[in-house]
Amino acid sequence: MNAIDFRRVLIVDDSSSVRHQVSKILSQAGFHVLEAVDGVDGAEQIRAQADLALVICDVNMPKLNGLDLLDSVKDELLARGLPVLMLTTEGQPQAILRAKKSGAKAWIVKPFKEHVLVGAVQKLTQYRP
Amino acid sequence: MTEPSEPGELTQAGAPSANLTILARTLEQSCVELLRDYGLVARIQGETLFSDPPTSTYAGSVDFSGKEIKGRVLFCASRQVIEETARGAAGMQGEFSAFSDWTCELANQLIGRVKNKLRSYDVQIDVNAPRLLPRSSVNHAEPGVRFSFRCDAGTFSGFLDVLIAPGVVLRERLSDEPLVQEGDLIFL
Repeated sequence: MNAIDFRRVLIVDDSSSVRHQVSKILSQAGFHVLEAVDGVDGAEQIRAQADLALVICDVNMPKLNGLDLLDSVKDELLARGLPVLMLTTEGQPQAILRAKKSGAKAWIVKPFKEHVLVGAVQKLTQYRP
Repeated sequence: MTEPSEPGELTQAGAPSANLTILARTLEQSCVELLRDYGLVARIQGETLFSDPPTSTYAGSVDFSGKEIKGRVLFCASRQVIEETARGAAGMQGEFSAFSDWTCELANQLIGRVKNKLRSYDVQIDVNAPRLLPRSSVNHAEPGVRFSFRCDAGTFSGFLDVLIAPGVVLRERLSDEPLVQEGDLIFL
């Protein structure tokens, strides 16, 4: 099993603005952020990047939405103990429950506050500089 | 949610149906709250029922559909408003150039608020990915509800174009289930 880099985070969102937001905030907090532009790209990067400490994932995306992405990599997430934080406008309880069953560990409803995102990421990665 | 009633077609002229009133207030509240999250106070300039969609420098559109309802929401704003909301967003300070993408994200957040509020009326909708609309392509064939606002950065509009199945009446339901709010963090 590859060693995890506790600072390495993947953001999966079709909005370049959101990817920029998350990347800037987390970089300033000491994390190294990779980006995926949609669910298909996200699934590929999750499988390819063996040392990820956390995935941050939107729900409503073209090609493959975030919940379907979770289902597609569920076994991979479990085997690696890789946590997922959903970052989305979605607030439907059924969606949250479905994400939880597929391995998501946290859920933030956009728009988000910087300290909320950083605190959640630090807790899930167990990394604090 | 489904109860016997007279049809609630939203494209009829004349007095608005109760459904339309609920949807209009939902849109208005969602617009105000969206801008407030980015430090802007929105003051309503006008409410127009059955009007053509607004045209503006930037317009983000999101289609939605549910069991008995379907439609789309537009968020239309001036360049200055888009820029000012970006300044108010976490991690977005500094030089900003992604007007189109950020407009779509704002439209996405607007429909997200509308969707979450409609759960109080037992309405569940699925939303598509947001898309940017060129000014020339805004569809004038389906009038809807439009709210125009002014804020310190300029003007913007929210537009809702929706069809509800005949006989459907929106009623607020009482529920013990806590509604998830924008900005909430939940550990699962």
